[in-house]
Parts: sequence; C-alpha cells; structure tokens
Amino acid sequence: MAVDDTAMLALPAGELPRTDALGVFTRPRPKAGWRGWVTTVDHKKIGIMYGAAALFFFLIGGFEALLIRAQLWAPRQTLLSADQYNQVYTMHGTTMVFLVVMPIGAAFANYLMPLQIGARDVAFPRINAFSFWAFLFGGLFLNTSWIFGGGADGGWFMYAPNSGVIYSPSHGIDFWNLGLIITGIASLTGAVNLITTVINMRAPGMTLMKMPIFTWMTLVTQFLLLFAIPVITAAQFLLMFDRQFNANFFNVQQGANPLLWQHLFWVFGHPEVYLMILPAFGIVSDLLPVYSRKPIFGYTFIVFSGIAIGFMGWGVWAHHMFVSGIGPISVTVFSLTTMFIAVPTGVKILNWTATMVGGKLKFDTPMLFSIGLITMFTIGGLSGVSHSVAPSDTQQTDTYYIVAHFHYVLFGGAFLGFMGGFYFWWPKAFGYMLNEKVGKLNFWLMLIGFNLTFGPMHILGLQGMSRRIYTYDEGFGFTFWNKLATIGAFTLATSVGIFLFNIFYSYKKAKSANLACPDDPWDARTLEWISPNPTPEWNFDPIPVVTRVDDFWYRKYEETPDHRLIRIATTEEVIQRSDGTGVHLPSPSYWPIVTAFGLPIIAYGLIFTLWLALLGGIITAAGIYGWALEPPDDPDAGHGHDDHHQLDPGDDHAAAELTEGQSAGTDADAITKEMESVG
Amino acid sequence: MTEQIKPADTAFGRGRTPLPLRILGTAAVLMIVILLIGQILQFWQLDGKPLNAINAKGPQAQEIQGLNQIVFIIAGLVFVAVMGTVLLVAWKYRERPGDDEQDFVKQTEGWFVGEVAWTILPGFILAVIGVMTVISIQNLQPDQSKPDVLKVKVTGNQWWWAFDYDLGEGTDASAILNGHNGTYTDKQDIDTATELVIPANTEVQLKITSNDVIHSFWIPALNGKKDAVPNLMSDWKLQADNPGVYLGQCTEFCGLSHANMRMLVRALPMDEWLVWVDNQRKESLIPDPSNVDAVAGRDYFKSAACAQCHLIRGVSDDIVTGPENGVKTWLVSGRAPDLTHVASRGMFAGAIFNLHFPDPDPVCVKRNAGKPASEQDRCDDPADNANPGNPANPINQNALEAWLRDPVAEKPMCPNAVALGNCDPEAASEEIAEGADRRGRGMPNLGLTEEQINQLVAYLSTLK
Amino acid sequence: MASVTVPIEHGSGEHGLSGLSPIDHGHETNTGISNTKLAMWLFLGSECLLFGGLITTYLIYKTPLPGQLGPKDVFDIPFTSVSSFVLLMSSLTMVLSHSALEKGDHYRCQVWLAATALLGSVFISGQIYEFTAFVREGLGYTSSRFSSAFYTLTGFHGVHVTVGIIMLISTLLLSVRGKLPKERAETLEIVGLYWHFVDVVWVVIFVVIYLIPEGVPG
Repeated sequence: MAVDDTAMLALPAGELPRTDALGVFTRPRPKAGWRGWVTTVDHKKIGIMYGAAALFFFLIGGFEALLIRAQLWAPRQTLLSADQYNQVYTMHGTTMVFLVVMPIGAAFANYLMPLQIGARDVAFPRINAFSFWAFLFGGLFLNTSWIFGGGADGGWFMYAPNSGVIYSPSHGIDFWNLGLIITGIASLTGAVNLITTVINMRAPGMTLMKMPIFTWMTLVTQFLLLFAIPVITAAQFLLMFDRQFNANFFNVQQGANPLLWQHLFWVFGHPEVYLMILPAFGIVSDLLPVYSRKPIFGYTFIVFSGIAIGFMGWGVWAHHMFVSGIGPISVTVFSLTTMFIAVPTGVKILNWTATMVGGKLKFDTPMLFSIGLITMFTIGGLSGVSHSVAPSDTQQTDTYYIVAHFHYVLFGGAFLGFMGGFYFWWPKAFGYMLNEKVGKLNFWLMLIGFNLTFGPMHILGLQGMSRRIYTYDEGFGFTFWNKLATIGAFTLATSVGIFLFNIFYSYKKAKSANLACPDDPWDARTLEWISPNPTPEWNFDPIPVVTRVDDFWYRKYEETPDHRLIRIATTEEVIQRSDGTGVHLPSPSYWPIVTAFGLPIIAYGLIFTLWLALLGGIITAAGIYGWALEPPDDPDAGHGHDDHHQLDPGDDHAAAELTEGQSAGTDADAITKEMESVG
Repeated sequence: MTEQIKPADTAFGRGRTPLPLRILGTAAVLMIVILLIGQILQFWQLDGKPLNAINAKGPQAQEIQGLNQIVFIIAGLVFVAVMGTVLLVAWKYRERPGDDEQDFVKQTEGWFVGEVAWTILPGFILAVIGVMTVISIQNLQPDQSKPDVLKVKVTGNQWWWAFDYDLGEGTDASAILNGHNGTYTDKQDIDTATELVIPANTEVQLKITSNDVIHSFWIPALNGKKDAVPNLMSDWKLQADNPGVYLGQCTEFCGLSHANMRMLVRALPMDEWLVWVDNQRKESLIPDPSNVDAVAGRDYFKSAACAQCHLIRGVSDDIVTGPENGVKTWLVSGRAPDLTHVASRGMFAGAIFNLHFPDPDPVCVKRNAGKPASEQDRCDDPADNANPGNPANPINQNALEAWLRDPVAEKPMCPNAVALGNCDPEAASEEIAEGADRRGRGMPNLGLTEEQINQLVAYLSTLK
Repeated sequence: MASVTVPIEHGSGEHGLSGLSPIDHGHETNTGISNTKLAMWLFLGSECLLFGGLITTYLIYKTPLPGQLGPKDVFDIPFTSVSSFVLLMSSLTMVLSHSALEKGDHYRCQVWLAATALLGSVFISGQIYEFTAFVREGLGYTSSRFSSAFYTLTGFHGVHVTVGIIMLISTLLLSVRGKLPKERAETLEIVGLYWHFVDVVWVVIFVVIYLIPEGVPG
C-alpha cells in the first residue's frame, strides 16, 4: 500500500483530508446536534435510533392494544365500530411485529454485535444508515394511513382474498403492503450487512465458537431474515399488482388459489417468529452468566440449539394452516416437525436453568427480566406444543388461546428479554444506569400486568372466544375474563410508563449529582465492556486480541485448578483508556437518508398518482448516484481484501481505485435497492 | 483488589431491595399462581358456555378432547417441573447478605451427558404425542364410502352460512342418507341457511367452501374447525350424540361482521328429522287469505328489492336463483339466505338474533331456583342470543322488525359498495347513479315503511 | 455456511476502518473473502428465494381456465430459445472480459464488456418483442391468472437483466476512463457474479415456463 498512511493517521478523527475521487460530492463532516444524527453512519448511533424509533412505535402499538382491550371490556361495547376495531387490531399486530420487536432486535444487533466481536463498525456503514432510515420511513408511511382514510383492516397476516380491493376498498391495505415492502428492503440490506460483519470482521482470535451468544443469535437471525424477507416481498408484490394493476393472483373469479398467499406468507412468517425471539434468547444467554457469576452452561449446546431452531424454523410453516384444508398428509408432516422444534427450545431452557445451578445469583433488574423470560416463555412454549398436535389445534387456532400463546412467546419471551437487555446495556449506551429500585418495580408490575392480560386469554380461547371479533355477546361466559384482561393491559401500560419514567428520572439524577457511570457495573463478561461507558466513538483502541469465550471476564479473573476464580486485575486496569487518536472512522453521509426518503414517496405515488412515484424514483436514484460518486475519506475504504496494492503513490488512480472499491461494494446493494424500487 | 463503585451503586438504587418491593414481588408470584389455579379450575366449569371447546358432545370432539387432555397433562407436568426447578434454583443459589463477592463458586461450563440426555428425553415424550397425533388425524378424516351418512355442502358467505344437502329420493332414512349423488340442487335436495339441521347419532360429512373470502366453520362441541376457502372443497365431518342445539362461530377473519357470523347445528331425533326434511322439500306456504297482512307481505316481497336476492321457492324463483344456475345478483357472494322455510329456523342474520323465543336457559333456571320471584332473572329472554330460539315457540317480532327497519344498524355490513368503491352509502349511491357496478356485501336498508315492515313480518312468520 | 466454520484466526478485520496500527492494514477479513464479494453472495442467496416465490406462483397458475389463452397458444419456443442462447453467450463474454482484465488487457476487457451489455440488450429487446406479440394476440397482463403470473415472473427477470446492463455500462465507462485498473478486477468479478446469477435464473425460468408441458386445465 503506497498511499501515505502516516500523514493520514496523524489526523484526528473527523478532520480527514478531502479526496475528490470522482470530484462530484464531498462528504459531510461529523457534526453535533441533529445533523450528526441524520448523517451518521456510526453503528452505535444507528442502534440507538433503532431503539428509539421502536419504542416510539411501541407506544403507538400499545395505545392500539389499549383501545382493543377497552373495546372488549364488556359485551356489545361501542367504543370502536367494527370497521375501526378491524383497523386497530390489524395495525396493532403489524406495528408490534414489524415496527417494534424486529427493530428492537435490530437495535441490539446494531449496537452490540460489532462491540461483541471487537469491530469498529459494521461492514457497510452507509448501508447500515440506509437500513435504519428505510425502516423508519416505512414505519411512518404505514402509520400515515390513519390520516389517508384509515389503516389496513385484514389482520396482520392479510389473508387473500379478503385483502382484495372488493373486500377492502380503502387504501389501508395498500399502505400496509407498500410500507412493509419498504421495511423489508431495510431488513434485507441490514441482514446482508450484519452477516458480512460477523463473518468477516471479528477481532483477532475471535473464532466463531468464541463469540458471545447474542452475536451468534444475531447471525442466525440475520440469516433467517435474508431468506425469509424475499418470500414475503414476492407475495407483497403479487398483492400490490393485484390491488394496483388488477392482476389475478388472488382473484377468486379467475381461479386463484387463496392458499398461495398463506403458503408464501407463512414460509416467511414462521422464520419470522424465530427471528423475533432468538435475539432475546441471545440476550438472556449473555445476561444469566453475569448474574450467576459462572459461565453459560453448555455454550455449544446453546449455540447449536439456536442454529437448529433456525434451520427447523423453515420446515414448520404450514402449522399455521392446519385447518385451511391442506390435506391430512401435509397436516401430519407439519404436525410432527412442529413438535420436534420444541426439542432445541427445551434445551435452551434447561441449559439456562443449569447455568443458575450452583451459582451465586444477584437479582438485579436484568436478571429478574431474564428469569421472567425463562418462566413465561416456558408457558408459551408448552401451549405451542398443544398447537403442534393438529387435532387439538383445530379447536384452538384462531381463538384467544392462540392469542395467549403468541403473546407469551413474543411478550413473555422476546419483550421481557429486551427489557433485561435495556437495563443491562443502558450504561454502556448512555453513560448512566437506570435506577434499580424503579427497575424492580417496573419488572414486577410488568409481570403482573402481563399475566393478568394474557393468562385469561387461554381460558377465553378454550371457552370458544374467536380472535379478531370486535365484540361479543353476554351469555358465552366471556365477560369476566375479558374484564380481567383489560385490567391487566392497563397495568402493563403503567409498567411501560414506569420504564419511561425511569429513563428520565435516572438521567436527571445522574446529571444533577454529576455521577460518573461505573465502567463495569455488573462485573460483566463479554467483550463490549472492555471500552469505557458510554462507548467512545471509535469503540476500541487498540482492537483487542481475543483468547476465549467471555474474554473480558478472564482479563479480570483467572481460573484456579479447582475451577474457582481469583481476581487478577481491577476493572480500571482492563478498561481501555485511550483517546482514539489516529483511528479512522467512516465519515457521515447524506445519501442514505436521501435514498431512503425516496421510497415512501414512490409508495405514495403508487397509491395516489404515478407522478409522485416518478418524483420518489428520482430522489432515490439521486441518492444512489450521490452515494456511488461520494468520495471515500479513508485510504483503506472499500478495498477488496485480496487485491494487490501496486499503485504509484500520488497517482490519482489510487484515489479512483478507492472510490471504486467503495462504489463496487455499495453498488451491488445500491442496485438492489434500485431494483426493488423499480420493481 | 476491591473496586470503588459502591457510591455510584447506591445512587443508582442498587443494594438491598426495599421491603415494599419484596412484598410486591411475593404478591406477584402468588397472584400468578392463583390465576393459574383459577384457570385450571375453569376446566370443570362447563355450564353457560355454549361455545366451550372442552365440552365434547360428539365422537370427533371427544377424540380431540381425549388427545388434548393427555397433552395438557404432560404439558402441565413439564410446566410444574420447569417452573418449580427455576424458582427453587433461584431461591437456593441466591446471593446472601454478607457473602463475599470475590469468593467464587465452582465454574462449571457444562455437562455433556446431561445435555445430551435432556435433548433426547423431550424427543421421546414428543414421539409419544406424535404417534397419538397421527392416529387422531386419521380418525378425523371422513371415510367417503361409509354408508348411512348425511352429506352437506357448507358454504361461507359474508356473513352467514349456507347449507346445501345432498339427499337421496324417498322418505325413509336409509334412502335419504344413502341416495346422495354429489349434486346439491336436485328436487329432493334441500338448501337452507344459518342452521344445519341434522339427525342425532348420525355421521354428517361436510364439504366446506366459500363464495367470497375465507371463513371457518366451527361447532366446538362437535368437532374442531375447518376453513371455508373459495375455489377449494375441504372435507370434514361431525356428529352429535344427542339431540340438541350446538352453537358455532366463524373463526377465520372474514371482514366487517366477522364477529357477527355464527351458525348452529340443530340435532333432531331421526323421526323428527325426517319430518323436517319432508317439510323443507316443499315449496313455500301460501298464506291463508284471511291473513291480510301476510298476503300483502307476500306481494310486496315479490315486487320489492327483497326478491332480487332472497329465494323463496314458489315466489321469487324466476327473479333470483343461486350462482350455480348462472344468475348473478349484485351481491359479491352471489347469494343471500334462502327464505323458503325461514320460520322453521330458530335464529336469523348469521345466527346472531333469535327469530323465535328460546326455551328457558337451564343454567338460568338453576340459578333462579329458590329465589323469590321478584329477584329471578328472565330465562327466556329473546334478546339473549347465546340461547338459541326454538322454532316451536312464538316468533320474536321485535328483532325481525328492527332488522327490516335498518339491517346495517343491527349488524355492520357493506351492502352499497360499488365495483371498487367504498362502504359509505351516500358516496356509493352517487356512483351507482352514474352507472357504476354495484357490488354489495350484506343486506341494505330498503327504506321500508312501518306498514310494509308489519306485512313482511306477518308473511315471513308463516314460512314454516 | 461451510466457509465460515473455518475462520481465520488472524486479521484485524474491519473493512475501511483499519489504520489502528501502521503495521497491520487490516486488509484481511476473517474468511479471506472481501466484504463486498461476500455481501453479493448473500444478496444473491436472498434473490433465489424471491425468484423461488415467483416461480412457485407461476407453477400453480400456469394452467389457464378453460377458454383462456394458455402457454401453448402463445409461446414461440424457437424464438425464445434463440434469445435464451444469446443471454447464455453473454455469460461467456463476461468471463472473457474478466480474464482479460486480470491479464491487464484493458482493450479486450472493454470489448467483451461491451459485448456482454449488447447481448443482454438483445435479450431484453427479444423480451419486449415477445411481450408485445402476446399482447397483440390478446394476452394482457390482467387477462388470466396465467398471464399475470407469466408477465410478473419474466418481467421481474427482465428488470434484473436491465439493472445488470446498467451495471455493465457503468463499469465499462469507468474502464474507458481508466479507472478500472487490473487491481480492481474484483469489482468486475462482483458485477459478473450478478450477471451469471441472472443467467442461471433464466435457465430455470426457461425450463419452467417454456419446456415443462402444460397440465390438465382446471
């Protein structure tokens, strides 16, 4: 490499020389304030934005949940009309799945995964920014349907032909469809990016089997996304062509097969369930050892059971269709495969329990949430086994029993895990700790509210209460349990309020008392804690060399021959204290947000007037070209890694090469996006 | 080597958990346990829950319930074991006050044999459940060659069910049950709606489909559900061991009035069922000339919009027929309930209103026993549509009048939509006036006068 | 996943972010495959499922309802075979272009690149001709379930080819301006990966649509 590295390296981050490679655009400098956030390509800031956006959507989805519960408080309530109720529950499900649970997973993956593998950023920082903005704009676009004539009203799995124009003439389903295509593009680019990062960018010594389990689960999750998203995207294109251009994919009069949608949806939909729950499993697997003060029990089993779930998740989709008329042989096959996916899930639960056995358990808030996940997910898992028994499922599916089941999985499983993650990594991300007392109050209220809301739904389902009904009559025995569930929902809402209060309260307290954030408050184990809190912009300086699982822990402790530990270093000794001088960071860029911004405009255009779509197309195309022509700011940016650096120093070919490296790298993805938007 | 992080710890609220929080935690665990026990106790509380899915009244439902019970018991045992272990472990290995942070427990990293064991063991349990499941799936498949079964085509429409019987000619049970020929429109066949009337103790084989969107046919007491999918015929069966009324509810989301789409199975003793069949095969009754209102109602029915969608055999045959005969109404599903013998049914409008007064609800009667008359509940309230009306009782005039006055107010529907328009009646009627195709779903408000309503009610009441 | 189970123990890893020490430039990734190439592979893996979904849809709907135009009424198999051959040949020219660049022969590289783009364009022209011919015969996009599925599947592929042509032309322009040196052969290789993928998908589509006979109507 002949480019003069040393001169470059002497410059502090953010003061990089301009290399006008193709001479068209310059990159923005890192800025404070909102511009810094809008143009950022820093995975940590992007992770935080994912989290903030997801919490924002969580409040919307939660409000919709409260409307549902208020409507079902008593028989024949008229708070919501049938039409409004159908919109509210559809948007509740869609929001919670696509705009809350998935992006919270993405938030943790973005923030933590590079830190856990000892990388300074993800493989393609600008694509990472694009993923976030596309997700955010897609989510906002979806929710603007409330202004333009109402939300989607077909249920979150939007079965054909009820999603056709005849049956749902408002634009709600168009917003749903196009909004989710946009968030799908975001997930897909994110998946390519994060997989590449895990596979290619681990710190020296960090072999795959030394990775923290959260990173492992992120890898599995992103593979699931990579292969699941295109299937739903294909289905959504078909639905879009049906609704926008009168195609016949779901037109029953033209001999369409309504099960086509169901198959495509659930081939996506079931891996989707696992990609929502696996990040939380990863979080808990990283948290339990910290609070048990001993290593995870059976690292290999935990990892491989996660991989097994990832693989088996592809072979069970039709268990959502046991009653749809797919024939007894398919039912039998999918019934059996579904049962056996309980095996790797059970392994995880037992291994987590075994991690606690013989430990010295500290019940800090993150630990409480972890145990909450183990127990509540067990309930959801067991009711899942009763669904896998196809004959039983014919009595249970599409009743409140299944509503109870998937809330125990997705709230009791995924969300409680995320809450634990929030409490655990809050100091890492924000430099102050959340108050423990308020945290415990938060946990217990959430546990009570959760069980009060969803526990009674088991009973409601077995008593025959169908899901997705906007009201019910007296005389079916539903009233009491519905009242209980509604009380529970408001308790749950209170606990979420307490969480938000804790964020502000702890921040104020930390600020007013000028408290320094402890660098290793939990006596943690994984690599991300090697950098001080909050994480500096450059993550690591220098890049740590990893020797084993829980590397950070074993920098502090040494194992004696009788498998006990002695402290060999203080936290202060092992935390990196360098100032990041000489670390090159990718420069911010305007283009990800511009490119992403064009997508909802195209979508509005497809719904209202094609001229708008043209405008959106131009914005996105401009974004892609701005992106491709943007100069790199880093001498190594975009190198293919096996090329030979034989260029003359100072030759502007060098600069060209660099640009090309970047644009070749990004080109492929830029073109992906272009294709998506063209398609 | 200790660390100086304690002050910050306390500031962030760490340290010993205060008493109120401990009480809250204990209360939470207790509450969850009580809630769980309460839920389990519900399994034995079967009265007053007409849609209960764990109250089997026929062999298919019993098959499922038997399997279900085994699964629930196994799941319950696993649940108690896992939950108990987790809580015990959490309690036993908790950090106690005064423990030295740096005095470490043994650092175990796994136990291969144990892990393999608890991978394989659940596999065995599941294999047992799996075998039972496979057998049960087979048992639930209708055997098409079985003799003495009733064959019915079940068709979902927004938001009511049509039942088309495939019967043999003749009047005795064997001829009727064995003479089916695969068509549902012969002279000896019966088309009805909302109520599936079957002989008790006889297997009923269903072909389930839909005319519009996907619905799901579910009579919890008799069998699990099966989706009604357009362009697809699904086989299913059910059987009621005893005469009685068994309610059901559409369970696949089917649009606006999904909640208001119910149906019921009325199982009759075989001899009564044969009488019912004989009656249903007849054309509609012509009201007695002395019943002036009914005669006027019949004339009005024929001349007004009613006859464009509803078939009354002998009255509106030429004006409307089902989609099988190629005539297309403006209804998306192409079909409205057949009213030829509407007064022989206990309920109407998707089985959400009582057409006749119900018999006193036994649960209510039991509850009333011993109470003074002033405190007793009314047990035959016609507005209680969880207690289906009995066709032998007087007609529930109020409900029928309210329905005719404004159906959309009684049950959310979208009867006025144009080709690709919306459900707003005014916008739709403008577009229809401009010549757009009308594609409605449900019954519109026909703007009937009170007199017309009275006449129609008088007429429909005669259609036994 | 096979390649990732044997990670390379050494290498600082980050793409575009090295510079932490003057000695190690971090050019090596854990796997030895560059980030961009790996990303392209992953992306193509994902694309397989997109086309998988569309091909499945076509297979379900390829039989038209009675009385409607079906595959055997409209398809001109010799014509499509020729244009398929043209597309396949473009894979060959793509390989030639890449190998020329690796040898440092910029002129041949550009010629073959141009040939690839040209062959791709010929294929697209053929597809446009085919579509217009079908429409003239009365097979519109909304005519039947078969027509919707056919146009959607082949249209999606056509869009992919078009995007590929844009990539080829961009690369060609760079090369003409002297900004595609031998050392950047990987850029061309990645474009080539995409191009070969599009060709392979066409082979599958061609077999599925044109060669597998139509089933019984209904």
